[in-house]
Amino acid sequence: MVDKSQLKVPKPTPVDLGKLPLKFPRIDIDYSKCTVPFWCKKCLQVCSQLVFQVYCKQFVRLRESDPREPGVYEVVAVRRDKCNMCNKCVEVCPEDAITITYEGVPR
Amino acid sequence: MCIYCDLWGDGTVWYLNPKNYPRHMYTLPRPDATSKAAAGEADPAGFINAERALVDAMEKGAEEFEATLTALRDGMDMMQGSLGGWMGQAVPLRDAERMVEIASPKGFIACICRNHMLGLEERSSPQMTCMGLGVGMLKWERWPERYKGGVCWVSTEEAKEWLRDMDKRGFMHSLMMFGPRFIGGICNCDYPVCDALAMRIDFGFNMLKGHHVAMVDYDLCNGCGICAQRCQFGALKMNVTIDKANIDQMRCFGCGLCETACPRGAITLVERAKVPALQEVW
Repeated sequence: MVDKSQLKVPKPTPVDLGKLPLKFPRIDIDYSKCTVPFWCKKCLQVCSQLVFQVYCKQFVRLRESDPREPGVYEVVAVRRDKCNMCNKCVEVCPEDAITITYEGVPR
Repeated sequence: MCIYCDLWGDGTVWYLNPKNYPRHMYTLPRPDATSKAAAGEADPAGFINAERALVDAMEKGAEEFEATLTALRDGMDMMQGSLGGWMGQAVPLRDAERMVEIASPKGFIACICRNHMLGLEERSSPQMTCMGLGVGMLKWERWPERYKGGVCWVSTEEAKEWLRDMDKRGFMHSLMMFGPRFIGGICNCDYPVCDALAMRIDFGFNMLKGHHVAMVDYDLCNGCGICAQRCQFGALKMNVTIDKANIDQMRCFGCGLCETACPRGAITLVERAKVPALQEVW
Protein backbone atom coordinates (compact mmCIF):
# COMPACT_ATOMS: atom_id res chain seq x y z
CA MET A 1 0.00 0.00 0.00
CA VAL A 2 1.28 3.45 -0.93
CA ASP A 3 1.73 6.01 1.80
CA LYS A 4 -0.65 8.70 0.70
CA SER A 5 0.82 11.36 2.97
CA GLN A 6 4.08 11.26 0.99
CA LEU A 7 2.33 11.98 -2.31
CA LYS A 8 0.82 15.07 -3.82
CA VAL A 9 -2.62 13.59 -4.28
CA PRO A 10 -4.88 16.21 -5.92
CA LYS A 11 -7.47 17.55 -3.52
CA PRO A 12 -11.09 17.39 -4.54
CA THR A 13 -12.57 20.72 -5.56
CA PRO A 14 -15.80 20.24 -3.71
CA VAL A 15 -19.09 22.01 -3.56
CA ASP A 16 -19.16 25.40 -1.89
CA LEU A 17 -18.82 24.31 1.72
CA GLY A 18 -19.82 27.74 2.97
CA LYS A 19 -23.31 27.16 1.63
CA LEU A 20 -23.83 23.97 3.58
CA PRO A 21 -26.08 22.75 5.06
CA LEU A 22 -28.62 22.87 2.26
CA LYS A 23 -32.15 21.53 2.20
CA PHE A 24 -33.10 19.24 -0.65
CA PRO A 25 -36.47 17.82 -1.66
CA ARG A 26 -37.33 14.49 -0.12
CA ILE A 27 -38.27 11.89 -2.70
CA ASP A 28 -40.06 8.82 -1.36
CA ILE A 29 -40.64 5.77 -3.49
CA ASP A 30 -43.20 3.21 -2.41
CA TYR A 31 -41.54 -0.08 -3.26
CA SER A 32 -44.72 -2.04 -2.73
CA LYS A 33 -46.05 -0.24 -5.79
CA CYS A 34 -42.85 0.19 -7.80
CA THR A 35 -41.77 -3.38 -8.48
CA VAL A 36 -40.38 -3.50 -12.03
CA PRO A 37 -38.51 -0.17 -12.43
CA PHE A 38 -36.04 -1.40 -15.03
CA TRP A 39 -38.91 -2.53 -17.22
CA CYS A 40 -40.91 0.68 -16.72
CA LYS A 41 -38.12 3.28 -16.34
CA LYS A 42 -40.52 6.15 -17.05
CA CYS A 43 -39.18 8.28 -14.21
CA LEU A 44 -35.60 7.79 -15.43
CA GLN A 45 -36.48 8.94 -18.91
CA VAL A 46 -38.57 11.95 -17.92
CA CYS A 47 -36.15 13.50 -15.42
CA SER A 48 -33.97 16.18 -16.98
CA GLN A 49 -31.82 16.35 -13.84
CA LEU A 50 -31.13 12.59 -13.79
CA VAL A 51 -32.05 12.34 -10.13
CA PHE A 52 -32.94 8.64 -10.29
CA GLN A 53 -30.79 5.59 -10.70
CA VAL A 54 -31.94 2.02 -11.17
CA TYR A 55 -29.85 -0.93 -10.10
CA CYS A 56 -30.10 -4.68 -9.69
CA LYS A 57 -30.33 -5.61 -6.02
CA GLN A 58 -28.30 -8.77 -6.39
CA PHE A 59 -25.64 -10.18 -8.64
CA VAL A 60 -26.17 -13.84 -9.38
CA ARG A 61 -23.31 -15.86 -10.76
CA LEU A 62 -23.74 -16.96 -14.36
CA ARG A 63 -27.19 -15.43 -14.66
CA GLU A 64 -28.57 -12.14 -15.91
CA SER A 65 -31.55 -10.76 -14.06
CA ASP A 66 -34.94 -10.44 -15.68
CA PRO A 67 -36.20 -6.82 -15.72
CA ARG A 68 -39.79 -8.09 -15.68
CA GLU A 69 -39.38 -10.09 -12.49
CA PRO A 70 -40.85 -8.08 -9.60
CA GLY A 71 -38.51 -6.92 -6.86
CA VAL A 72 -35.23 -7.64 -8.65
CA TYR A 73 -34.45 -4.05 -9.55
CA GLU A 74 -34.85 -0.95 -7.43
CA VAL A 75 -35.06 2.67 -8.44
CA VAL A 76 -33.43 5.15 -6.05
CA ALA A 77 -33.57 8.95 -5.94
CA VAL A 78 -29.81 9.38 -5.63
CA ARG A 79 -29.22 12.97 -6.68
CA ARG A 80 -31.93 14.73 -4.69
CA ASP A 81 -29.68 17.79 -4.66
CA LYS A 82 -30.40 18.31 -8.35
CA CYS A 83 -34.18 17.88 -8.10
CA ASN A 84 -36.07 20.99 -9.17
CA MET A 85 -39.46 19.63 -8.08
CA CYS A 86 -40.97 19.86 -11.55
CA ASN A 87 -43.05 16.83 -10.48
CA LYS A 88 -42.85 15.20 -13.90
CA CYS A 89 -41.84 11.88 -12.34
CA VAL A 90 -44.84 11.99 -10.03
CA GLU A 91 -47.13 12.59 -12.98
CA VAL A 92 -45.59 9.95 -15.23
CA CYS A 93 -45.42 7.15 -12.65
CA PRO A 94 -48.06 4.58 -13.62
CA GLU A 95 -48.19 3.21 -10.08
CA ASP A 96 -48.27 6.57 -8.24
CA ALA A 97 -45.31 5.37 -6.24
CA ILE A 98 -43.35 8.65 -6.06
CA THR A 99 -43.97 11.48 -3.63
CA ILE A 100 -41.87 14.63 -3.35
CA THR A 101 -41.94 16.72 -0.21
CA TYR A 102 -39.95 19.81 0.60
CA GLU A 103 -39.57 21.63 3.86
CA GLY A 104 -37.52 24.73 4.04
CA VAL A 105 -36.70 27.84 2.10
CA PRO A 106 -36.05 27.34 -1.62
CA ARG A 107 -32.53 28.23 -2.70
CA MET B 1 2.93 14.52 -15.17
CA CYS B 2 0.06 13.49 -12.95
CA ILE B 3 0.36 11.57 -9.71
CA TYR B 4 -0.02 8.22 -11.48
CA CYS B 5 2.78 9.16 -13.90
CA ASP B 6 5.00 9.87 -10.90
CA LEU B 7 4.13 6.50 -9.40
CA TRP B 8 3.76 4.17 -12.35
CA GLY B 9 4.82 6.12 -15.45
CA ASP B 10 8.46 4.96 -15.55
CA GLY B 11 9.32 8.24 -17.26
CA THR B 12 6.38 8.28 -19.64
CA VAL B 13 2.67 9.00 -19.45
CA TRP B 14 1.35 6.27 -17.17
CA TYR B 15 -1.42 5.07 -19.45
CA LEU B 16 1.04 4.62 -22.32
CA ASN B 17 3.24 2.39 -20.17
CA PRO B 18 2.46 -1.26 -21.03
CA LYS B 19 3.26 -2.27 -17.45
CA ASN B 20 0.00 -0.68 -16.34
CA TYR B 21 -2.24 -3.01 -18.31
CA PRO B 22 -3.34 -6.26 -16.77
CA ARG B 23 -2.03 -9.41 -18.34
CA HIS B 24 -2.04 -11.54 -15.23
CA MET B 25 -5.19 -13.41 -14.45
CA TYR B 26 -7.10 -14.93 -11.57
CA THR B 27 -5.50 -13.61 -8.47
CA LEU B 28 -7.13 -15.16 -5.45
CA PRO B 29 -9.27 -13.03 -3.14
CA ARG B 30 -7.14 -11.40 -0.51
CA PRO B 31 -7.41 -13.38 2.75
CA ASP B 32 -7.24 -10.19 4.81
CA ALA B 33 -10.05 -8.56 2.84
CA THR B 34 -12.46 -6.85 5.17
CA SER B 35 -15.06 -5.77 2.62
CA LYS B 36 -16.99 -7.84 0.14
CA ALA B 37 -15.59 -5.73 -2.69
CA ALA B 38 -11.97 -6.34 -1.73
CA ALA B 39 -12.71 -10.05 -1.64
CA GLY B 40 -13.82 -9.86 -5.26
CA GLU B 41 -17.52 -9.78 -4.52
CA ALA B 42 -19.29 -6.73 -5.84
CA ASP B 43 -21.86 -4.96 -3.72
CA PRO B 44 -24.58 -3.96 -6.19
CA ALA B 45 -25.78 -1.05 -4.10
CA GLY B 46 -22.32 0.07 -2.96
CA PHE B 47 -21.73 3.17 -5.02
CA ILE B 48 -25.39 4.19 -5.15
CA ASN B 49 -25.56 4.16 -1.35
CA ALA B 50 -22.31 6.10 -1.12
CA GLU B 51 -23.67 8.77 -3.45
CA ARG B 52 -26.89 8.97 -1.48
CA ALA B 53 -24.91 9.37 1.72
CA LEU B 54 -23.01 12.23 0.11
CA VAL B 55 -26.22 14.07 -0.76
CA ASP B 56 -27.66 13.36 2.70
CA ALA B 57 -24.48 14.74 4.28
CA MET B 58 -24.89 18.00 2.37
CA GLU B 59 -28.10 18.50 4.31
CA LYS B 60 -26.27 18.06 7.61
CA GLY B 61 -23.43 20.48 7.08
CA ALA B 62 -19.94 21.09 5.76
CA GLU B 63 -18.12 18.91 8.30
CA GLU B 64 -20.41 15.96 7.72
CA PHE B 65 -20.04 16.39 3.96
CA GLU B 66 -16.25 16.45 4.09
CA ALA B 67 -16.15 13.39 6.33
CA THR B 68 -18.51 11.46 4.03
CA LEU B 69 -16.51 12.48 0.97
CA THR B 70 -13.27 11.35 2.59
CA ALA B 71 -14.83 8.02 3.57
CA LEU B 72 -16.07 7.52 0.01
CA ARG B 73 -12.67 8.32 -1.49
CA ASP B 74 -10.92 6.00 0.97
CA GLY B 75 -13.41 3.26 0.10
CA MET B 76 -12.68 3.71 -3.58
CA ASP B 77 -8.95 3.52 -2.89
CA MET B 78 -9.43 0.24 -1.07
CA MET B 79 -11.63 -1.22 -3.79
CA GLN B 80 -9.93 0.11 -6.89
CA GLY B 81 -6.41 0.79 -5.74
CA SER B 82 -6.78 4.43 -6.71
CA LEU B 83 -5.37 7.34 -4.72
CA GLY B 84 -7.72 9.86 -3.18
CA GLY B 85 -10.61 8.40 -5.18
CA TRP B 86 -9.09 9.46 -8.51
CA MET B 87 -9.95 6.38 -10.52
CA GLY B 88 -10.36 7.84 -13.98
CA GLN B 89 -8.67 10.29 -16.29
CA ALA B 90 -9.70 12.13 -19.42
CA VAL B 91 -7.78 10.98 -22.50
CA PRO B 92 -7.86 12.57 -25.96
CA LEU B 93 -8.71 10.42 -28.97
CA ARG B 94 -5.11 10.10 -30.10
CA ASP B 95 -4.02 8.70 -26.74
CA ALA B 96 -7.05 6.41 -26.59
CA GLU B 97 -5.99 4.99 -29.95
CA ARG B 98 -2.52 4.35 -28.60
CA MET B 99 -4.02 2.70 -25.53
CA VAL B 100 -5.91 0.11 -27.57
CA GLU B 101 -2.67 -0.67 -29.38
CA ILE B 102 -1.12 -1.59 -26.03
CA ALA B 103 -4.03 -3.34 -24.33
CA SER B 104 -5.02 -6.89 -25.08
CA PRO B 105 -7.57 -8.40 -25.12
CA LYS B 106 -10.20 -5.72 -25.61
CA GLY B 107 -13.91 -5.79 -26.22
CA PHE B 108 -17.05 -3.71 -26.38
CA ILE B 109 -19.25 -3.91 -23.31
CA ALA B 110 -22.40 -2.18 -22.13
CA CYS B 111 -22.01 1.10 -20.25
CA ILE B 112 -23.00 0.65 -16.62
CA CYS B 113 -23.72 4.36 -16.10
CA ARG B 114 -26.24 4.49 -18.94
CA ASN B 115 -27.74 1.31 -17.52
CA HIS B 116 -28.14 2.90 -14.08
CA MET B 117 -29.07 6.41 -15.11
CA LEU B 118 -31.43 5.80 -18.00
CA GLY B 119 -32.22 2.11 -17.74
CA LEU B 120 -30.57 1.54 -21.12
CA GLU B 121 -29.68 -1.97 -22.12
CA GLU B 122 -26.89 -2.06 -24.69
CA ARG B 123 -27.38 -5.64 -25.69
CA SER B 124 -25.61 -5.81 -29.05
CA SER B 125 -22.20 -4.57 -30.13
CA PRO B 126 -23.41 -1.61 -32.27
CA GLN B 127 -25.13 -0.18 -29.20
CA MET B 128 -22.27 -0.69 -26.78
CA THR B 129 -20.56 2.48 -25.60
CA CYS B 130 -17.91 1.13 -23.25
CA MET B 131 -14.69 -0.76 -23.93
CA GLY B 132 -13.08 -3.15 -21.52
CA LEU B 133 -9.32 -3.54 -21.65
CA GLY B 134 -7.42 -6.54 -20.45
CA VAL B 135 -8.20 -9.85 -18.85
CA GLY B 136 -10.52 -8.51 -16.15
CA MET B 137 -13.51 -9.04 -18.40
CA LEU B 138 -12.88 -12.76 -18.49
CA LYS B 139 -14.28 -12.85 -14.97
CA TRP B 140 -17.63 -11.82 -16.39
CA GLU B 141 -19.46 -14.77 -14.87
CA ARG B 142 -19.13 -13.23 -11.45
CA TRP B 143 -21.18 -10.23 -12.55
CA PRO B 144 -23.31 -11.13 -15.60
CA GLU B 145 -25.51 -8.21 -14.65
CA ARG B 146 -22.57 -5.89 -15.33
CA TYR B 147 -21.81 -7.53 -18.68
CA LYS B 148 -25.38 -7.70 -19.95
CA GLY B 149 -25.26 -8.55 -23.61
CA GLY B 150 -21.83 -10.12 -23.21
CA VAL B 151 -18.43 -8.96 -24.37
CA CYS B 152 -17.73 -8.40 -28.07
CA TRP B 153 -13.99 -9.02 -28.56
CA VAL B 154 -12.45 -6.76 -31.19
CA SER B 155 -9.19 -6.19 -33.04
CA THR B 156 -7.07 -3.08 -32.61
CA GLU B 157 -8.30 -1.63 -35.91
CA GLU B 158 -11.96 -2.22 -35.00
CA ALA B 159 -11.38 -0.62 -31.61
CA LYS B 160 -9.79 2.46 -33.20
CA GLU B 161 -12.58 2.85 -35.72
CA TRP B 162 -15.12 2.57 -32.93
CA LEU B 163 -13.28 5.19 -30.87
CA ARG B 164 -13.29 7.59 -33.80
CA ASP B 165 -16.98 6.95 -34.25
CA MET B 166 -17.64 7.68 -30.57
CA ASP B 167 -15.63 10.86 -30.95
CA LYS B 168 -17.77 11.93 -33.90
CA ARG B 169 -20.89 11.35 -31.83
CA GLY B 170 -19.52 13.75 -29.23
CA PHE B 171 -18.49 11.52 -26.32
CA MET B 172 -15.34 12.37 -24.40
CA HIS B 173 -13.04 9.45 -23.68
CA SER B 174 -11.78 8.54 -20.26
CA LEU B 175 -9.85 5.67 -18.81
CA MET B 176 -10.98 3.81 -15.74
CA MET B 177 -8.74 1.89 -13.39
CA PHE B 178 -9.79 -1.19 -11.50
CA GLY B 179 -7.03 -2.01 -9.09
CA PRO B 180 -3.60 -0.40 -8.83
CA ARG B 181 -1.71 -0.34 -12.12
CA PHE B 182 -4.76 -1.86 -13.74
CA ILE B 183 -6.25 0.19 -16.57
CA GLY B 184 -9.45 -1.70 -17.21
CA GLY B 185 -11.43 0.29 -19.70
CA ILE B 186 -12.02 3.25 -21.94
CA CYS B 187 -15.36 4.93 -21.32
CA ASN B 188 -17.16 7.31 -23.63
CA CYS B 189 -18.76 9.85 -21.36
CA ASP B 190 -21.13 12.76 -21.39
CA TYR B 191 -22.48 14.87 -18.54
CA PRO B 192 -24.68 14.12 -16.64
CA VAL B 193 -25.26 10.54 -17.80
CA CYS B 194 -21.75 9.43 -16.88
CA ASP B 195 -21.67 8.95 -13.13
CA ALA B 196 -17.92 9.42 -12.87
CA LEU B 197 -18.10 12.70 -14.76
CA ALA B 198 -21.08 13.86 -12.70
CA MET B 199 -19.10 13.12 -9.53
CA ARG B 200 -16.19 15.15 -10.85
CA ILE B 201 -18.20 18.12 -12.00
CA ASP B 202 -20.65 18.22 -9.08
CA PHE B 203 -18.48 16.97 -6.18
CA GLY B 204 -14.94 17.46 -7.47
CA PHE B 205 -13.44 13.98 -7.35
CA ASN B 206 -13.21 10.73 -9.34
CA MET B 207 -11.91 11.80 -12.76
CA LEU B 208 -8.57 13.50 -13.26
CA LYS B 209 -8.12 16.01 -16.02
CA GLY B 210 -6.06 14.86 -18.97
CA HIS B 211 -2.46 15.59 -19.85
CA HIS B 212 -3.39 18.26 -22.37
CA VAL B 213 -5.29 21.53 -22.63
CA ALA B 214 -6.93 22.87 -25.76
CA MET B 215 -5.87 26.19 -27.28
CA VAL B 216 -7.47 28.20 -30.07
CA ASP B 217 -5.47 29.81 -32.86
CA TYR B 218 -7.43 33.00 -33.48
CA ASP B 219 -5.89 33.43 -36.93
CA LEU B 220 -7.38 30.13 -38.09
CA CYS B 221 -10.72 30.18 -36.22
CA ASN B 222 -13.55 31.51 -38.35
CA GLY B 223 -16.24 31.26 -35.66
CA CYS B 224 -18.24 28.42 -37.22
CA GLY B 225 -19.25 27.24 -33.73
CA ILE B 226 -19.04 23.50 -34.38
CA CYS B 227 -16.72 23.00 -31.39
CA ALA B 228 -19.04 24.89 -29.05
CA GLN B 229 -21.63 22.11 -29.19
CA ARG B 230 -19.17 19.49 -28.01
CA CYS B 231 -17.58 20.66 -24.77
CA GLN B 232 -18.88 18.62 -21.81
CA PHE B 233 -17.26 20.86 -19.22
CA GLY B 234 -18.57 24.31 -20.05
CA ALA B 235 -15.01 25.33 -20.88
CA LEU B 236 -15.53 26.24 -24.52
CA LYS B 237 -17.90 29.00 -25.51
CA MET B 238 -18.14 31.37 -28.41
CA ASN B 239 -16.64 34.75 -27.71
CA VAL B 240 -19.46 36.82 -29.15
CA THR B 241 -17.45 40.02 -29.34
CA ILE B 242 -14.79 38.67 -31.66
CA ASP B 243 -16.94 35.82 -33.02
CA LYS B 244 -14.35 33.13 -32.30
CA ALA B 245 -14.13 30.16 -29.99
CA ASN B 246 -12.94 30.88 -26.46
CA ILE B 247 -11.59 28.21 -24.12
CA ASP B 248 -11.37 28.62 -20.36
CA GLN B 249 -8.28 26.52 -19.83
CA MET B 250 -8.78 26.34 -16.09
CA ARG B 251 -11.94 24.34 -16.82
CA CYS B 252 -10.56 22.43 -19.82
CA PHE B 253 -10.12 18.67 -19.27
CA GLY B 254 -8.05 18.17 -22.40
CA CYS B 255 -10.43 15.59 -23.85
CA GLY B 256 -9.83 16.95 -27.34
CA LEU B 257 -13.45 16.83 -28.53
CA CYS B 258 -13.15 20.39 -29.83
CA GLU B 259 -9.85 19.61 -31.54
CA THR B 260 -11.21 16.64 -33.48
CA ALA B 261 -14.32 18.58 -34.52
CA CYS B 262 -12.60 21.71 -35.82
CA PRO B 263 -12.75 21.66 -39.64
CA ARG B 264 -9.96 24.26 -39.92
CA GLY B 265 -7.49 22.81 -37.45
CA ALA B 266 -7.69 25.95 -35.36
CA ILE B 267 -7.71 24.11 -32.03
CA THR B 268 -4.63 22.27 -30.84
CA LEU B 269 -3.92 20.24 -27.73
CA VAL B 270 -0.97 21.58 -25.77
CA GLU B 271 0.72 19.55 -23.07
CA ARG B 272 -0.45 20.59 -19.65
CA ALA B 273 3.13 20.41 -18.37
CA LYS B 274 4.12 23.20 -20.75
CA VAL B 275 1.57 25.66 -19.38
CA PRO B 276 3.07 26.86 -16.07
CA ALA B 277 -0.13 27.73 -14.21
CA LEU B 278 -1.91 24.56 -15.29
CA GLN B 279 0.79 22.03 -14.47
CA GLU B 280 -0.78 21.07 -11.17
CA VAL B 281 -4.40 21.63 -12.14
CA TRP B 282 -5.79 18.11 -12.21
